[in-house]
Amino acid sequence: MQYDCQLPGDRLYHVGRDIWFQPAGGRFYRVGVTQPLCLMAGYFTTVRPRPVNTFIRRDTPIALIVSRKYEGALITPADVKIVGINESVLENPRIVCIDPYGSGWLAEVEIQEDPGAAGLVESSRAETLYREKNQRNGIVCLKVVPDYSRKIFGESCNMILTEIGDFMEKYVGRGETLHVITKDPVTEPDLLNMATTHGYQIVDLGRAGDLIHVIFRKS
Amino acid sequence: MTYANPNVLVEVDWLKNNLKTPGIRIVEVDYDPKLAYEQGHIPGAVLIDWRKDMNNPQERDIIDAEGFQKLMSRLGISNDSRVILYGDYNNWFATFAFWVFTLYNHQNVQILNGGRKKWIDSGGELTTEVPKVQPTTYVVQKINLEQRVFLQDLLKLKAANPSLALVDVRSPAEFKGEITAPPEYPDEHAQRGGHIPGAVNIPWGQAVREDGTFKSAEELRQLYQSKNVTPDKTVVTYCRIGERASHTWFVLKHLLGYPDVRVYDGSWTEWGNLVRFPIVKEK
Repeated sequence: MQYDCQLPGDRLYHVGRDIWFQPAGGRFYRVGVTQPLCLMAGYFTTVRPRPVNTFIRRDTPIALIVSRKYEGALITPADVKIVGINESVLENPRIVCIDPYGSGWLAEVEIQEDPGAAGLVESSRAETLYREKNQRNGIVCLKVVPDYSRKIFGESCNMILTEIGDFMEKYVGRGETLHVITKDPVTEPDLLNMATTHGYQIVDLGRAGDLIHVIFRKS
Repeated sequence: MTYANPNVLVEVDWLKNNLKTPGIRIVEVDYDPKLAYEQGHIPGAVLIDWRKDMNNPQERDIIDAEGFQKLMSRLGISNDSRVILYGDYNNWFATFAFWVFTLYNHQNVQILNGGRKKWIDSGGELTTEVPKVQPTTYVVQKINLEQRVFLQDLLKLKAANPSLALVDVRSPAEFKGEITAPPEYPDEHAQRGGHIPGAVNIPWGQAVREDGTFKSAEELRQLYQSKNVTPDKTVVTYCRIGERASHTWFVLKHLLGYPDVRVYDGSWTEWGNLVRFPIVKEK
């Protein structure tokens, strides 16, 4: 568990806007959302880019993006013209956070100004900026974006495990994942035992400071 | 058929052209500002953090008149300011703020039709810049308690008024008692699931279109009248903690013009925790 999320080196980033720009020749770039935004917002249920051939001024939305807890925008830090959109994410918005740097791209744009002037930076600089931002926002870089997230603390180990079990039973569907943030008195072996007993898959398990992060998948 | 009080709404296109009009204060109302206001808001908008700013920090209650005055002062709102509220998820928390503003008798308050979603979808500018505002002196001159009911009032109303229309605006799963809170808000629970006897279930979100704007007056009239929620009755709305109930209160009171609509903001987290109170649970 760490605050360093995936930031591929083949593209530019604007950390404040959680957007990446991947060069596609000349002034053309492919754009999408960064992994930390996915971890904060969860899987998107609606992705609606502005139409092709629209000129978009800096600080205005390229796309509306909505999840169960986030109603926001992919905002461009530079003046751009939209030259293409990813039709597959319109039909299945979940792809955006399953593969944010690959098949989950949102749009192709022609940039109208110098990328450096727009505040776009390379991945090494973005890593430093994201480390600070993630710590500030309490974002831990998990292996997958969970469907649900819960902080569960308690006086006893059994109390915590019971609450996790109740949530998995009531809310989590087959194939979906629950990210639990917890701490002592529950321990990693307790969580592993619980997963075995209930038939849950553990997708990720680790510590960040004194907190334990675990992702269960209901199979 | 038009809305009973169309002046409670402003449209996105109008606001785009009036961002700098003097006397207007735009306010974003968020449940979680990290996921909304801090990511980008309408230029010039100030923030109401629903949990911290709208609620009493100690007792379970909304802020009192003094707290409201302090909040208005901090946000640069005067008694005569024109306030435009908006937020995410179909103005869920913005309409709660509207309810509080009218409870404290602020005269000129409106909702941005469609909220964040419509603003973003129409390409509206978003900034992360927090405006500097000049504190004001704000005085609450009247409190409109008739738009709110407490538990004891509700019991009296139910006993004295057999035709009371009690509207549970939560999801069908909450109404039936399958869950006690939506999965995104599982910490605000009741001990038991179900609904108050006599309540009808009209989920709050049915009042809005996919783009976040309110349905037409005729569509809204049909929605509520089909469940016998008619303007001749006293109507009480409730949900889990009172915020979704204020959305339906806004629709019934201001868009349809029902004369007597009240919010039971104790809602399910009060009723569902009471010992020996009747609960209907559907199987």
